[in-house]
Amino acid sequence: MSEHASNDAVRANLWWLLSRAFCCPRDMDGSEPGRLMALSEQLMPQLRSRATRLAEQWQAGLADAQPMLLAYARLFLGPFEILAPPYASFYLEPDQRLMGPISVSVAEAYADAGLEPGPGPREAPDHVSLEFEFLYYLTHRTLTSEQPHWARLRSRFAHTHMAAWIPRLGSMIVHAETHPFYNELGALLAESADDPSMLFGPADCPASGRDT
Amino acid sequence: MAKKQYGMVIDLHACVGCSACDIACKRENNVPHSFAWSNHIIETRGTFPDVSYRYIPTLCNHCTDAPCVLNCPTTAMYKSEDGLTLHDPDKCIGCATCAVSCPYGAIFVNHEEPFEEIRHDESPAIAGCTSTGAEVAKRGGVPLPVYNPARAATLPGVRPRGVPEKCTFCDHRLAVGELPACVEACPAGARIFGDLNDPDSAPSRAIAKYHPKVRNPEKGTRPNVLYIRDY
Amino acid sequence: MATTTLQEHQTVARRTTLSRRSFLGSTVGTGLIAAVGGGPLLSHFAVASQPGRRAAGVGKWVASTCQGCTSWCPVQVRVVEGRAVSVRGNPNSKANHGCICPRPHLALQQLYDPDRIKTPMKRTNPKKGRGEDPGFVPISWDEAIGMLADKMMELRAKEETHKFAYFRGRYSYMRDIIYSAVPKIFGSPNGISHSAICAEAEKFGAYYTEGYWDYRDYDLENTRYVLCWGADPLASNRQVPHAISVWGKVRDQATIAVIDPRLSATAAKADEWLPVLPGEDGALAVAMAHVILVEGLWSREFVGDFTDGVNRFVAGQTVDEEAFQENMTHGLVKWWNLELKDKTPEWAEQQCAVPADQIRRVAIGFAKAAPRAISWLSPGASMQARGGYAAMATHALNGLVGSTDHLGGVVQKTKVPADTVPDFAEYQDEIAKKRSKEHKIDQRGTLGFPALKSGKSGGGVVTNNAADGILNEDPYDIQVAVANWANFAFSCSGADRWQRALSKIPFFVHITTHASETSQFADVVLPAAHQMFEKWSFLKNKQNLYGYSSLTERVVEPMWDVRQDETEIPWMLAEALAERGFDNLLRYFKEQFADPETGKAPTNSEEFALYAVKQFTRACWDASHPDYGKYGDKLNGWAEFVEKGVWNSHRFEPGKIRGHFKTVTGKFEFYSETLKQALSAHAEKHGVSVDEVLEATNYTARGELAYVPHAETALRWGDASEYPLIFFEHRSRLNREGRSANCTWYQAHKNADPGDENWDDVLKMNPVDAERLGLKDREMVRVSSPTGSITVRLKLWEGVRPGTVAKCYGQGHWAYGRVAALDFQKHLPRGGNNNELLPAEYERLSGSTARHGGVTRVKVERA
Repeated sequence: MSEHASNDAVRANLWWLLSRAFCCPRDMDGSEPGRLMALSEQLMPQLRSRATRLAEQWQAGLADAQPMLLAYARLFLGPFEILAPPYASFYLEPDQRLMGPISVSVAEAYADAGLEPGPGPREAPDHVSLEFEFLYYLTHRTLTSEQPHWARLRSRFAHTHMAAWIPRLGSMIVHAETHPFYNELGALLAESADDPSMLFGPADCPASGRDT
Repeated sequence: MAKKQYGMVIDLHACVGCSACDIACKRENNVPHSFAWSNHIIETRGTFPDVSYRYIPTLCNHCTDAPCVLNCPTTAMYKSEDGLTLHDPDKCIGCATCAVSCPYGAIFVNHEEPFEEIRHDESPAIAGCTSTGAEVAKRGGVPLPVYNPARAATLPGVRPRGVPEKCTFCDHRLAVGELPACVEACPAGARIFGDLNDPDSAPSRAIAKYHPKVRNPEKGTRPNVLYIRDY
Repeated sequence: MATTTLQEHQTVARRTTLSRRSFLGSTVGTGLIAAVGGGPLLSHFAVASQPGRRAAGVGKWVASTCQGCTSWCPVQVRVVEGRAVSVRGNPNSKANHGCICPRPHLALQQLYDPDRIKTPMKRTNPKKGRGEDPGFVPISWDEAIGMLADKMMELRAKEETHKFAYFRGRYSYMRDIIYSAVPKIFGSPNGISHSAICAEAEKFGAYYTEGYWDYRDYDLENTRYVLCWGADPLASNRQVPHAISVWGKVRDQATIAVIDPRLSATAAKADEWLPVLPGEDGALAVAMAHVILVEGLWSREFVGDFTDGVNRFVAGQTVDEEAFQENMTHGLVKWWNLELKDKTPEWAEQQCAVPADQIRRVAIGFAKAAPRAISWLSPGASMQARGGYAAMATHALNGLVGSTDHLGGVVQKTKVPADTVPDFAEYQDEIAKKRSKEHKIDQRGTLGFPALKSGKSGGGVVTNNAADGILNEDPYDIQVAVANWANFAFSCSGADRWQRALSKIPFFVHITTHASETSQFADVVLPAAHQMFEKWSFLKNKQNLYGYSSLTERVVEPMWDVRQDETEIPWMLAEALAERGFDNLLRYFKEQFADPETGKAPTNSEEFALYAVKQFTRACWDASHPDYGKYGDKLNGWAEFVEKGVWNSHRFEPGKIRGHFKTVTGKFEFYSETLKQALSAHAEKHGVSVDEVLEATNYTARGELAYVPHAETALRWGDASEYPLIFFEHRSRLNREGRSANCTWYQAHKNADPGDENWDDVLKMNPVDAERLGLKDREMVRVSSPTGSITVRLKLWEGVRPGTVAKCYGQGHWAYGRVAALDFQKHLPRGGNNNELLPAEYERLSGSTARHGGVTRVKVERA
């Protein structure tokens, strides 16, 4: 249990940081690169070097914020062509439309897990940053309540939903070649295509509590 | 403290055979109309004018010794800590052994895409003036015209093709402190739900007071749905 | 996507940062990033305020009212993200106390039914008739309402405004705006309601015994005997969820006997089933009365006694009226001498086919349990061609044993305060004043249609006869008609007459949620808001000895371009008429309606709809109303009424009406002076004798028998040699008044009606008859009456009396949607509509449609 728990915590902290990485750079508080650097030592080898480079680029990016901000806008905001739409619907809906069934079902998953929108501005529910934060939250519930329900939810959300589109988002970011930080970030996501468990943990939840 | 064993006692004396349980279940769990997680057996006996009629509500018995769990080759069908018999579609290989194993016919397999006739309904009754199933679902931002999003908390909101489905005692409702939908919907108060391992629970008290019966006791499945009194 | 500009985004981002920085990062024991205190450190989310509960997923419960039957139960709808996802009983209601039957669940499938009409539409094929494709095309509301207003203005120009008719089907208590104010301000007497196809004959029974023209309430909680006359409260009207919820207890503490030719849902949960021959309930009831008197089991307290205490009620012997001293009743000995003395159980067995010993046993059991006993009259035992007197006889049993207005018995109702439309006389111009006094199209009050509602000749409607009025242009031709929430081309017996009548009306508008049979004859179809989810209105009713006023609310925003039928559409019509030079209606709406909270006059249709409901229900929530708090709850303002959804009366206290009945004598009348007065007035109006009235109304009784409850032999269409079987119909526990057949949940659970089959509409026949006719289970058969025929599947079932065949009402739709109809495009029905077999026959004293009592015989042949 404790080993699972610490693995879960490490992974959850990575998700928390990935959620931060997809926020607007102006919204970052500066502590993220240091946290990631500290975390990278606990990560498994395949992720470790990538995470270290990401932390370094993050640090450098924040030190010179304007290029990073512009890259962020070009990748995710527009106002013209958006290079890497950060919404699940874009990848999963047949007509790429926003606020369709995918968005609704994601929003429902949040609500069913006891979450409501925070006090800040609202993003579409299927935004990558929200989804990573959701995984972090579900792990928090898993580790503090020990109810198998939460681990099941997390595993299902990560593997049936996120794994289906996060690698593709990563590839789009990489191909856009906007900024070293985002290039590293995209590569990390794109690499999860071959082995989703690297980023999302095992599909089979060790904490699911089945007794058969 | 002993583990929970969720179970249900159905009071046939109180039941009036109205089918609200069946309909509420379909609504709560987005069950295709040809399936019946909540179901019933009806019987007319005798010869006019000495005729009697019985309606016996049925559902998955959440057996303690569940053949569907024992026979599942991948542990997709499993017993939860609360004694529920549940199914994990992620582990399922679609072999339908569970459905074949169940002596009660309580497991249904989506051999076709569920709700196909609604989701692919594209020819309205009156062109331009009435709608289609696909359009209503799309406008609502949901998979089906009538859809309960809460079901998706623990299972796919609509189960995909190739996957079996069955009553979960509304595990998604239990998780948030609600009773199963069929229990809430029963206007007769005939469905008594709770922890059978707790001697003070309502179903345990009903079991102690009356002589409960189970379906097909000879199968040795130890059902956790029990029946008291007569229709 | 992502339509915010960078600048906007930066602005909002700063705000987020501020709120996020109020957290200080920390970790929990596992090394997990967490907020101070150990909770999850979140920037996009907040943990819902109720731990362990879903936030948005749980949605909120919004109050409304189910109108799937006329129990009108207060409900709550769970709304998640603007969508209705489930329904439950409103726990604030003392009437149904949080319980609902299956019907409200089905309403969800009606709301989101793809076959709902989503826009106004007009006919392009001028040829009208069954099987003609109307060629509907979508049009705007302006065009649709404009077309109606143009046609109505033509009538005004010709001063023939009476040739406008409004047909009202189901309704809310907003009804009088469109049913009363609109026609009368416009200038027509023809507000024609559906009431007489519903249960007016039932009210006839209670009115001409105890002076109460309404449905009764029943103290099930305290009763010791329930005698159901065709009543099937576990499945259909009245107060279904309350009855279901207490039935287990009723079975524990009472005897239940059900009189019904079919083993109904309630009969299946009863101690005694009396499978009466359809239409012979009157014989059974008078035989029970006979037994109760002969056995000396009448209520001494309520009825009185022989002056010397010796029972002189002996079969076959007349009794001296002077020998009996009555208390709170009138005419017991007259009743005995005129009718009861010879009506032994053995006599009744010959008439009604219920064994004499069972009649005796039930009558004695009922009387011994009294006064905690219920004789529960229903449409089944009264909506018969000669059912008026059966209704009186069955209700008179309550008088005989003193169970009316008694604990555990049958009671009237508490007052539910409400206002209705403000006086509109000053908005009626000369044309309107003159033309609204024309005779109505349903011929009420003519010799053959006394329709004696509340004692008045022509006081009630003769709904079904309006079709003949239209076809025969008697008293005149209808030029423009609007029907709302009504499907007379399906729901009235002799349905083909309506199909021809509607085809004949030059301009016909149908307001409906679905393209029903009636829509097929319309020039314009207007899509209506669904009553339970999309409409502001209120209902008044009673169950469980509580009266209540219950709101229907706009629970979700409509998906389609629909309008509220009883309020918004009249407003839009008023605007269109005003544009065309007739502004009386619009002035009336603007001047006589206002938001009671702000005094603001309505400026558009939605405001009008809302203000009108607030205005009508003020007594429930507005402390300045004179009736506020007088009869029940004191709701603290409109907002609380909306939130609770229901106003409850004080509990009805039985015993206060006894001895103060609103009959001519003030007593419970076994010899009905009240009916005598009504019949005499009607006879006098037409210059005939009462006997001639009886003849004109198909009754066999003559003389004094006209004034007492008595047995009449059933009237049946069809010769027994050609049509060997008696056909009777019944209701479904899943019927939302014939409107739920397009729901898959209806079809997939239809076998919850005993004897019925899922996805089918079977004719139930006893195996004995099938063998005689050489018919097999589940084969298709043609069922023919003298007036029509349908083809359905045969079901052999022991729960139906040999010599009779039964079929449920509600199926056989050839329109209404793609589930209800077998083939909507080809107008092929799923099953068969009973109203194509049933002739347009009447219980004429009340104006009712005689849809029960085995009014026709049929033959059944292999199809």
